[in-house]
Amino acid sequence: MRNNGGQALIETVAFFLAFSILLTVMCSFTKWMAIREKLLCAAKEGALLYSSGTQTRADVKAVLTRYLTHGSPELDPKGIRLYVGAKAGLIAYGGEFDQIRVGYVRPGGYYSIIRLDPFVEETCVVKHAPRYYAPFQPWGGPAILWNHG
Amino acid sequence: MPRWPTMNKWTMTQRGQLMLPMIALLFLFGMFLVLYVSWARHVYWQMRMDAASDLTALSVAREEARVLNYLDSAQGMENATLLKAGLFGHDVGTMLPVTEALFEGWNTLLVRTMGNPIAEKALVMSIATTVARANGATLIPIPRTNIDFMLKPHAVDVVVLSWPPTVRHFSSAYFTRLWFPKKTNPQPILRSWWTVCHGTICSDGRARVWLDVDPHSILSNGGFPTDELPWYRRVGIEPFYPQFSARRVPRVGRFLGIGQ
Repeated sequence: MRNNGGQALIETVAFFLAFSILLTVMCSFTKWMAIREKLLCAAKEGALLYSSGTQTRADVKAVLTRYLTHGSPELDPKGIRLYVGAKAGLIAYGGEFDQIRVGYVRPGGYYSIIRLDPFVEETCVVKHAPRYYAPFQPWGGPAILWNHG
Repeated sequence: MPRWPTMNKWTMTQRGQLMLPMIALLFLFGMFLVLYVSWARHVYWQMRMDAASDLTALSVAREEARVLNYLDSAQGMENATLLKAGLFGHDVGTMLPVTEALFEGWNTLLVRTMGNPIAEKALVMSIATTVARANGATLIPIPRTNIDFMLKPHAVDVVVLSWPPTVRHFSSAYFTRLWFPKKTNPQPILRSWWTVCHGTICSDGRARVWLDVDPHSILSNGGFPTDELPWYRRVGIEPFYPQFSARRVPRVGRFLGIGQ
């Protein structure tokens, strides 16, 4: 027992259901991309700051945390994971490479419902600022040498 | 049952179906979503390559600065073993026999570093490749500038004060800079320009070697001595401030000529 109007109503509901799912996917993807881009900016700026040899690890972490928890998108400080320091490995040791990893665990939301990995991370690697004078001399800059501070 | 006011023969079939036009709408929106995701991925990778190219160029400039600091320090240490002066455009010097071996050690460092440009280029290339790959590049970075330290070797005839005295000729006893030889305290003109790619998405990064010395310093000689020094500054090898570092050339500044 149905008429044309009833079928149209069912199809309209189905349409708006599908449309709202697509719209949710688009909004979620946009937010995810915005978070990734913010993490990438933080990783790059952190790499430039720390590798300059003028800022300690603690200072760089404080600056990055402040940047990530302010502005848009504003990240939850509980979900932020930061690593500022030397890159591991023999080649990195020879080249004195720094590595900055900025990660974020998105708390709750549909991520946990559909079991998506809520962890996003961006990494930047750069060579540390060179020592002034020759390496075997005790004087000269920069203030923070590689794998120090 | 009241009819939907906007329904007509174009949006509803004889049996009341709205499915076809709605599927068409969903398909269009799905296509838009696919394009949007593709565009967003492109923007993201472009941002990553911008970062990767900047960090690659900066890393290479820092490696060049490290070598310059090393060379400048090594030739500064030669002063402890060699008394040099410039006489009528010719460099002569004297040293004690006990310091001869020490001088040879410092000089070997200089000559081996500057005398093997292929090894230095290979080292720079490996640094650039490591940094670019670690930052997301999939292809080998391409250098857009030649790696050249712009230093000129100078020969010194040295009288070794042994008995009997001997004269030795060192063809690359020290190096002078080729950038702005008439200026006392110029910044180096060494540039690092690299193209880094992730697939077809590429970006250019630029950096420059920078001498981290107060521009008003009386002692600063631009890191290395020049050929144009007066006679009193040709006594010894000027070792002042081997404090080379590197700076990134800002992307916006390139269009305005800032920081070039």
